[in-house]
Amino acid sequence: MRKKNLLALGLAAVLLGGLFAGCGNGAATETTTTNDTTTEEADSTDQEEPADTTNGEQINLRFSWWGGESRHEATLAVIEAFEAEHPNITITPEFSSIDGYAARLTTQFASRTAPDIIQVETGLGSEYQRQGVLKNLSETDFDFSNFDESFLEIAKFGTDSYWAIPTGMGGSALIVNQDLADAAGVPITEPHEWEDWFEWGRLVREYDPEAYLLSASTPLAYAFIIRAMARQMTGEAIVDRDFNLTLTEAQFEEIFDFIRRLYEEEVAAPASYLAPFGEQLQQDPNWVAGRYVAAMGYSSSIEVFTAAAPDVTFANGRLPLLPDRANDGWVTEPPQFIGIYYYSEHPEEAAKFLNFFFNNAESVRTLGLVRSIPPTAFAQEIIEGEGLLDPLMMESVEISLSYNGFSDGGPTTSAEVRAILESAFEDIAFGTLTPADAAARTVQQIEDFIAANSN
Amino acid sequence: MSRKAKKTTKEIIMYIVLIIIGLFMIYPLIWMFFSSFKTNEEIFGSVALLPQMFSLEPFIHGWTSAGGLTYATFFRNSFVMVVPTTIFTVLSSTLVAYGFARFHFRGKKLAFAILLSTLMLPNAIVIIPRYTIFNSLGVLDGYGAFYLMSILACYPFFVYMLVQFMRGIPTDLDESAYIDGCGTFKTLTLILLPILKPALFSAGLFQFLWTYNDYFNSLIFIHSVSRFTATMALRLSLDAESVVNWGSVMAMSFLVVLPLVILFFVCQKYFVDGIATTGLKG
Amino acid sequence: MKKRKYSKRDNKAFLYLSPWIIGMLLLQIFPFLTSFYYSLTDYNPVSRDINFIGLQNYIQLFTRDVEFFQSLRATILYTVYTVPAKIIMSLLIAILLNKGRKGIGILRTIYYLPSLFGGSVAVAILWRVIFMDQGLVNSVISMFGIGTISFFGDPRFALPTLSSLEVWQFGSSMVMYLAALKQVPQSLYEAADIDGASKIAQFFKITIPQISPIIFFTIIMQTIVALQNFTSAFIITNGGPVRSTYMLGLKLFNDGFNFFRMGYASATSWVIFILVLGFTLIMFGTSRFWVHYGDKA
Repeated sequence: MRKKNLLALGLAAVLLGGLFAGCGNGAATETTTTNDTTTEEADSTDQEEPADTTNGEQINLRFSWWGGESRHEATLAVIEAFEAEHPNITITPEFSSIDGYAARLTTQFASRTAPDIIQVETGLGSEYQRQGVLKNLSETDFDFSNFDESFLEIAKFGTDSYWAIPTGMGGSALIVNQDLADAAGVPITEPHEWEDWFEWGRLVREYDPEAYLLSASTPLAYAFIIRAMARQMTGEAIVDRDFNLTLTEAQFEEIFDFIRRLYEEEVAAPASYLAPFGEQLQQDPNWVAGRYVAAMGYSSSIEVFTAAAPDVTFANGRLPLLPDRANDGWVTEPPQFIGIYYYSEHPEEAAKFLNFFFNNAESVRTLGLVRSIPPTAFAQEIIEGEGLLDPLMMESVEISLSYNGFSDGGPTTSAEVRAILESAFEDIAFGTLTPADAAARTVQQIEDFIAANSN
Repeated sequence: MSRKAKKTTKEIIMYIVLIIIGLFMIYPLIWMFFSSFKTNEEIFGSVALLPQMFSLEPFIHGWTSAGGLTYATFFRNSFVMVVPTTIFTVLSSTLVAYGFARFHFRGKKLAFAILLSTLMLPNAIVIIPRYTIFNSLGVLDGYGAFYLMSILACYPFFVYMLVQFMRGIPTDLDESAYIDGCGTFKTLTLILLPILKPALFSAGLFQFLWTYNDYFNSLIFIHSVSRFTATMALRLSLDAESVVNWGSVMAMSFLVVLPLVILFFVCQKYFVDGIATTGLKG
Repeated sequence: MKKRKYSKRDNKAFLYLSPWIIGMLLLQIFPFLTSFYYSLTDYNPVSRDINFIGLQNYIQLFTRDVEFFQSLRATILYTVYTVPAKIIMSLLIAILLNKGRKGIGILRTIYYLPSLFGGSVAVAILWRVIFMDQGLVNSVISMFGIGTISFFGDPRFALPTLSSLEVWQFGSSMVMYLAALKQVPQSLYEAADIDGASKIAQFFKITIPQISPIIFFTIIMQTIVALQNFTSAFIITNGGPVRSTYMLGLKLFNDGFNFFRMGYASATSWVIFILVLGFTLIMFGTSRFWVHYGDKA
């Protein structure tokens, strides 16, 4: 009997022992797996070279970003080049897809374990700044002199300092199927007004009953229409930086009524048809077959959208305007930001890396267009010299800039306000709410958001 | 019609029904395989199952695509993470389930209620405090978090599952063993475990599968790409702003699910291969 | 008499429970209790600001948040659609696959296949392609003269469609039933055969009672999983269209991780907790009428 007791006890002990073995295993895999990474190879070979700035101390920085294949490869190559030049600094790449990216960052912020260098979603830039997780870049050695000052306003988030670096230039874009536009007789590549869409929509339906003027899937179209129209009405972002709602309920209703007509008059393809594709317009077989005159999107999505329909000739549409407007109101925004974590232990080294990333000709050449059109004239020249500049993408940036573009960046682009607007758009597109009801709900939800955030 | 012929007809109909339903079950795997060879246009623009041409290119491209690392690393990571986690889970859950199923002690009801309660909160909400704990224990960015959870029986699903299976076994069996002088541990290993074999195999299979397929916990607990599992790697190159080579994604998805198919096929006979209980309970 | 005999060895229970006790104290209790505390605060995980606000989160959930009731409705409907269908389907298939037929191994594997995919991106794409307006399902139903249905685009159909995909992944319950069926003593059936009981009578009189602990377990677990469901909505529909599949699990994820309102999300998760708890208590209440444990002979 006794013996059996001891046996059970022993097993429990083994289990507990396994607990530590488990941790040990974790450490063991750490050393074995790191050999595979391109980046960590550099640090083993460079040990003996003299460190150039700090007193021989090895510094490790973590850099997290999301993206696709080409972005990963180019970014890793720049990291490798940087490590070769700075043997005392290693950079651990933490890249992934966008799925769960923000959630992971939230968890890391909560435990103060976020990476030193962070790629930030455009809309979240001002949120992160407000919540104190971004380093003030004006206090670091990051060199902004290559950047266009007016574009850089975006990175100030309404303060006097720079908090993040725009990774590229971009803006709202209307991507036009030139063949279909010409055939249906729709001059959408010329300057025009919102109201013109209704007549054109009719022309397209007459020309081809299977075609529509617009592919307006909710996640892309709500920002395109609601934010731009609101700014043309008031000249302001919907919720300004001081957390004031600038749009009246009546103005919301006016915008929402426009959206209702788009769907009712068959200017836009049915919402229920497009909903399953979400932002992934390129997965819609009607897009692949060229059955839309235009799609709403961002200049950074042009490459993906056009690549999906290789038989179609594409052009940039002009952006629609209100006849009576406070300003042209179109949005120019970087596709994302890169910033330094406020609690990073090595902000100076991080800034050094970012200088290398943005202001070094070789890096710029390596990165090409993986984060859209580069944000500096200096980099654009290099890219153009290499013949890498996508003329369609470049033109779309120029168009959105010419329409008085500046960023809504602030509470309007926070995930929560985005969700409120998107949800209103969807309710109208599906006809589940009248424009008046949607306007009333939107105002109530934004007021709740404001109450929860301004204290 | 003779009785035998009638029975055979019945069998044949049964097979036909099973196979027709089976086609619905297997279709995705077949689709995934053939989609590997398709262009993006074919995948999204047509409903045809067969690709226009076959080439190994998507597999080769997909295998190496993720930033200098190959799926050899990711597969190895998956197994380094999943195999110990599965073994630890089955071991610890069995012991704990035994403690609950075959002993009476004060506070048992409360303890069991706590066990079940920890199942009832959504994972997303406990992940931040849990992350903080793992951070202070220093087991982040590796598989330590998973090992720790499994050693400490922190997957109440399996504990509860095994409790139910044990409670389905008549106590007469282990009581007589106990009277015969077997200790509690020997009763567990000699009497209960052989009967529980199908249950243990299914618990192990589930844990293997769920850990292998896990994306969110892995993404939160593992930062370095060199430690990513195959499931995490599948999403590495998905991006709305760059052209995704879906053929390669399908090819790798197919490869990633393949070990699970094989594992299940090899294990399936054990689910029904226990020592049948004798009619002690009558 | 039995009791006294057992009490002597019962002290050893804690030895077997020790891994769980440590795990619970170290890893489970703290997150569990903190989440309740968070639900009474405005905890923002990014800025790490936290202020006690009493029941405000709960009040807002029930009085001002229109999404909450839509989400609650979708969550409950999803549970109602999926759990019974999954249980019945997996039980029937398990019984069919329990016999020693030829090629049974391959059949079992095929029936389990859907459950192997988990939240695979490839499968999510497949659903979109199959169920889209020009997809396979629509071309099949058009042969029967039914017009095109936007399965994932129409708010009326999205949730049932999503549920059917969940039911399709019935494998885990099936495997548990296979394992449970194996534990049923063959002698019971032999005795019933001698008594001349029909197969259907045997199914209800012997099979169901004998595997009732596992049926009970799968009902509870499937309900918990369904009420907390996050993955399928996140991967396939992202809650749309018009929030028809915006289940509570997805809502609290967005609130907590994307809108940084972790306090609010914690309140939502405690609502789920209460739902699950209520359901579980009712189930435990009914269990003595139909669940037969071998240890209560």
